[in-house]
Amino acid sequence: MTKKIGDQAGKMFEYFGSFLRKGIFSVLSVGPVPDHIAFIMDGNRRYAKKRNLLDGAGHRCGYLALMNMLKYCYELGVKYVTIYAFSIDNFRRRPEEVQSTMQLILEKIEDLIKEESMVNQYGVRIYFLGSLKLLSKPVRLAAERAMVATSGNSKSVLSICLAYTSSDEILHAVQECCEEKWDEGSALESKGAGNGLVFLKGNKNGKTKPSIVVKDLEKHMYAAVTPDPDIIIRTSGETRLSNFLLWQSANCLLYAPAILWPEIGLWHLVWAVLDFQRNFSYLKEKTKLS
Amino acid sequence: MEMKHRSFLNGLPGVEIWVFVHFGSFCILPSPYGISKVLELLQWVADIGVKSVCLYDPEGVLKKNKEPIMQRFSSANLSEEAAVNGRLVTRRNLTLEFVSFEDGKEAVAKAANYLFVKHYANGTKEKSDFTEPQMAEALGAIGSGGADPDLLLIYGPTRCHLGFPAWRLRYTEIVHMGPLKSMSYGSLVKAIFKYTMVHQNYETTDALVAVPSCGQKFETSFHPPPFGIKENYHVIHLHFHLFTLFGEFNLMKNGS
Repeated sequence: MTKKIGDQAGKMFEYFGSFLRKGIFSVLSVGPVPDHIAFIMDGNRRYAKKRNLLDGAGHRCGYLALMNMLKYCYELGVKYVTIYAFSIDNFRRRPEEVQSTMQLILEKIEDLIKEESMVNQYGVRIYFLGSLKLLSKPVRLAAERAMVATSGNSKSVLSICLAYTSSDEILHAVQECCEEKWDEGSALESKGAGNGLVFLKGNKNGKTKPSIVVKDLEKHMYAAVTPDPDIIIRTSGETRLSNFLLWQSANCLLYAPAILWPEIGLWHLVWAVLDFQRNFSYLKEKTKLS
Repeated sequence: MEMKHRSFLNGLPGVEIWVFVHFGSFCILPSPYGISKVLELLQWVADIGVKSVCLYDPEGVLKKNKEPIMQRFSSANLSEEAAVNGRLVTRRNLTLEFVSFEDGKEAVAKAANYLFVKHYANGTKEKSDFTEPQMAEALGAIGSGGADPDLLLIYGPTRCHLGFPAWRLRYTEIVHMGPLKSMSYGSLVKAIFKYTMVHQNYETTDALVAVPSCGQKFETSFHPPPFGIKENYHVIHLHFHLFTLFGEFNLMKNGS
């Protein structure tokens, strides 16, 4: 009986919270709402230390904070959310810690694609961005399953950067462009057109015409599935991007609240959006110029 | 005060801090006013003891108008390390570099073409994937190489890097200093001091690393607390940093 009353109270509190959020988001929506927000979820381990929690518990608390932030973003009308889940640099951590993090990632990917999960509730399509071949087979297969399972969703997008760094992404794009140009040249050669050889050896003046342009590179970036972010939020007060979306963040507001990731809440998101709205015309002008 | 701040970084043996001063709103300031502010800022930076400064503005206005800056630092020489497009200038202990938006994405595209010609030009395709050193070499070959900055100070209305070369921004601390017209010496010193307290988490954990060598950062197990908080191990840790940063500061104070 007590449990039933508790459940009902919990539901009422949730409805009230949802109602309050709708009101806040209605006010925010008077101004420009960011289309794409990216998160660097920094501070899970420090949170666990601060609260004297067991190893790995900080990341679990971080996951709960992530679910809340995704809910707030999609309710606000932010269509694209990108998160920095695991960097290639993180493989240098202690093996036990890497193993524990990978186990958590695997568990949470499986949770995400369940029928009743938030992902299906908000019609979220999931992408995994990064050098997935660096992941263990179970995690890689789970990621691929999640992408297939959500491929029919079209309301919002969640991009999870796993085994990702910007420098690896740029290298990958350069490699793909070179392969593409090679294949084009080889195809022309086989048809006898000879244009590929002309490209490789130079034209009549001995100068090599540039064949790869910025648009070709952008087509092959891991993050080509989404537009460039409007805001990158990094928690813990750290001021660097740590090799995250460097190519895509040219005209993006960088916001660095001092709280640890598991402590992030609605008001931090509201504050970030207000900061974005305050700088919107300046950022828009810079985007046009570039 | 200036004497003390000049020795600010001399207490850190072997540390060479590169400060990239990034002017987001430079173009909207009237040119003579903007240049005088830039010169004043560079003078402060040189007085503090910073070795290398890169000036970035997206439109390349500073790059096109670098003569007043070079004239002010009158013993400037174009060093052998100067890039193909003449970006790099050395004056005694201060190296100046001028960067614009075209040194970012466009440079990576040129580097991609360089790599294509180098690895595919013989008519055979090399099997191995490109590596980061190869990319860095390609960027250097086309004149857009250079070390990653330790610290990027943004003088502009908002905290946004406006297309600073992505390849060089990987682990750079990005600090928003506010508009150029309201810059102050104190906030510059504070930003550099805060930079020296930074640690990075992606490696293993809790060892306190001693004074860094050139280009490295302090790595610590704790965030130093604000002044006034007294916890035993934090106070010891903070005193360590104070000693190395202000060692000469204290000696000069006692000796004066």
